[in-house]
Amino acid sequence: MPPPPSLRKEPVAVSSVLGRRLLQSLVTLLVSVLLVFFMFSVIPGSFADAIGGEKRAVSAEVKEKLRTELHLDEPLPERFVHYLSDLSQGDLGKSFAMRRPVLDILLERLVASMRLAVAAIGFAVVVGVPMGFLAAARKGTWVDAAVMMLAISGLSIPGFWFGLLAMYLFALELRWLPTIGYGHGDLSHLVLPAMTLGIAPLALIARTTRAAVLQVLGEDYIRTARSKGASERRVVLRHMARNAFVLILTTIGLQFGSMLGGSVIVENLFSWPGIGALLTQAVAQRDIPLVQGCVLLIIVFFLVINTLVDLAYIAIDPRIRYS
Amino acid sequence: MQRFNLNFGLLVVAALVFVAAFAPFLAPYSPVDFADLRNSNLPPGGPFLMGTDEQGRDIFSRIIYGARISLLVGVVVQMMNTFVGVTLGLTAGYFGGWWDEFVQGLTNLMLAIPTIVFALALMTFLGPGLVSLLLALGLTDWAYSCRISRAQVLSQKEQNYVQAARTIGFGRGHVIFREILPNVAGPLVVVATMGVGSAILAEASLSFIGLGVVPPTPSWGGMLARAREQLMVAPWIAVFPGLALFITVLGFNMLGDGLRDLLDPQGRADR
Repeated sequence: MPPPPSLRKEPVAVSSVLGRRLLQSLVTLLVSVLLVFFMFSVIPGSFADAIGGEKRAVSAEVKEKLRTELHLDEPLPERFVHYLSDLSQGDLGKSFAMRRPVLDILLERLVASMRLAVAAIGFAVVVGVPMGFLAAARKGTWVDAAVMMLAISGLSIPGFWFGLLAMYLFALELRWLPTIGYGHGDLSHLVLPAMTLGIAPLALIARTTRAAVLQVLGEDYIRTARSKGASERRVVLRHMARNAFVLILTTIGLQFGSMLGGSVIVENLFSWPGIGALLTQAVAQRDIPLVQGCVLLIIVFFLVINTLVDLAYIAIDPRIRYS
Repeated sequence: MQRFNLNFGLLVVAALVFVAAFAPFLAPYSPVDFADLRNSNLPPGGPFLMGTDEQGRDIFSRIIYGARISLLVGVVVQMMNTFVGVTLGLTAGYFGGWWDEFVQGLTNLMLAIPTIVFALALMTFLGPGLVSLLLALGLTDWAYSCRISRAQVLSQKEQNYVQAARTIGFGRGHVIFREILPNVAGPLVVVATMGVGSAILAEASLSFIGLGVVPPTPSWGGMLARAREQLMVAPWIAVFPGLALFITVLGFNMLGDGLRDLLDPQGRADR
């Protein structure tokens, strides 16, 4: 029920709430660019040494040329300005090992990672949310206990171990699914990696859903709705689901946002040609521009998803507009 | 159920400490030196309780010694993270102002970068190995300790005992670390306990992709990396190190859950 007109606050323009969120994300982004730049520049010699790198014989002459090209001979603040201006033009530098623009490599790999992330979060939501609802509805019974036990197991199980066992069972023994690799992009190759990546988010989503539903069930407006004689179906769908949804959405958003980072191990396990496997390879080869690019992309993805979740709140929960 | 969590967790942690401490007495073979290609990939049974790996090394013995790495990494990493997080969080909450803003910004940043990614980035110049692993993981996963200690200080700062300590003339350091910290330690213990579990998992993950503990030192993650290569011929290699890892992490998580219920009955997981 809306408050009486005298008490009603004037809604803050949606655009200003939006603006504040975007500004916050932008600040975090800038600071992370700063971090990613300085981390690899301040530590003595790391950049200059890495050009020579593992088993890449480079003559002193070439090294000197590269130093000039990469502005390594300039003072740090000026190098940062160069880095920023390059970045603003979409230039993330050139990979040492592959001798190609980092941005091109990232874009090639992004598709595979996105397919994996979307499939994994889809799996986690489709299984996790109903599990949480079920546990909340049967609170205190063995169903609840079983769901909670599964959830804490899902949070504790090492993803790559779960993946290994699943690979053995479904790919090697039963031969239902392919073992590793991307195939020609067919869905069958996606199933095992997505399940593996989705298992921990699934457990967390189930736990949050249960907690959110239980919390909302205790609220006054649910009791009010019940006492007004609203059908159970209406209480659940209209009053409860909508409010619990805000809490659940936060968890889903956070989980999805960290998925690119979470996929590092899973992509290695399944030889999945995404950003995570690329980052590992870049780290092993001390390919600094590529490492920087991967880390930045992972942060940007996190920030974009989180900002989108914030925007979704504003759409779902009118109270935010009034605060 | 709550008691069960606590007891199960305590049992697992105690067992892990015991196994790590007495590894040389418990392991039937040397984890590294006992190798024989004629024994490679033997299934569990006979003289080898859990079978052998591709070099003919006893998996059971390697798991026992692997407990040492896991425990070492888990405890050291979590101590480092707790130290960083608690120091930043307590001082940020107590002093407020620009320092608080700065610490909060830093915390947001740490939350935006997954621990494993940050650790990997640091490994670029640290290189693989135990010390780099401890550094990389110990400096990257303190955001939660920081947030919680900051929130705790904010709730305690205006309490009478803090005012009293100030009035008596104790210095800021004393007030923060000797007066406030003991009163807010409960939730921090819970976060730290679960943190040990995630540090162990992170170590195993990095070792699994070859950027953590260097072979032949037995680590559960490294053993699972071998297991992937032998999955077709010797699937049992994949079973036991993973099981050890799973039970250990589960143990720390359940201990954390149990401690939370014990220390803070209001904040129960079922709320």
